[in-house]
Amino acid sequence: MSDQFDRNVFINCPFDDEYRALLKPLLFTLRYCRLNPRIASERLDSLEIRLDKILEIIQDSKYSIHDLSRIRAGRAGEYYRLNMPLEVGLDLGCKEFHPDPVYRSKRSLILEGERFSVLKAVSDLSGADVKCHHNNAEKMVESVRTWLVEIDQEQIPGPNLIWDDFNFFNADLYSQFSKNGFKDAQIERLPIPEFLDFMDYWLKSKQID
Amino acid sequence: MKHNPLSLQPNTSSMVTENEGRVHIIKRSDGWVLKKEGAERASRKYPTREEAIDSARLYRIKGYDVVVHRADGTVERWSKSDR
Repeated sequence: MSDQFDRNVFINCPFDDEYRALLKPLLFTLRYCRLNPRIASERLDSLEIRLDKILEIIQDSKYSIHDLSRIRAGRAGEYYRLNMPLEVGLDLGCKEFHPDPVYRSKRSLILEGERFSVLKAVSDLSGADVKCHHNNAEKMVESVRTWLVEIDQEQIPGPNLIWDDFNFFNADLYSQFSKNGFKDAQIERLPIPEFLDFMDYWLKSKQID
Repeated sequence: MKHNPLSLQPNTSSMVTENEGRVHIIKRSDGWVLKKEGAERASRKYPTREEAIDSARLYRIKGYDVVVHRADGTVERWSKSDR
């Protein structure tokens, strides 16, 4: 178990380009509120089996956020995406069955893009803490922020403050990386570790860490 | 493992100086706002982004860069001040 267990948040989400617009404000909100987002793409070791990485992160994290807004098949003939529900199950299993009682303290947030869509697909999650971000970046900030207040995290700033600072952060990200020769599309597709590193530098420079 | 590209470390002192002259057009759930960096509150709310951009012209004349954001918070356009 990590010595940062009480500050780690396992992020279970899609890894496609389209989802980046929601992933970035999610990561920013967590770091802004002094938590550590842990995500499978934080390490880029192609020899590491992804499931092993996920199991390690689940065991290192007291908190988890599971975004189930993309489990639906997009068109006829396409498979539904089951990685995210699988990881919900692994996280729940760790909480309920791990011999170490500290895991009973795990807390999770389930996110959806349309209201009640999660219960249509995974009715066993009835009664779980589900929040709807409506596939909207600003709503993502609000949903995560509200959950953090509900799980008794301290000194959580208001949603507008976090959202505005996310916009200011993006301006500095754009400015800094443009000066270093990055094109707009390359800035949009920055690897997550690089994005998180710049975020940490930025938050430290603003004394928000 | 921390990714530590020294060439990309933010020059925080220059960011502070540059930031003081920026106005942002930011999405809100019920419209768009103009907000000067460093201000506690947004200056005014507009029903559309176009109206906010229109209003922001005054800030460019006063020497502010205007940064227009998309609804997802990323930067769409950066207009340098007229000075």
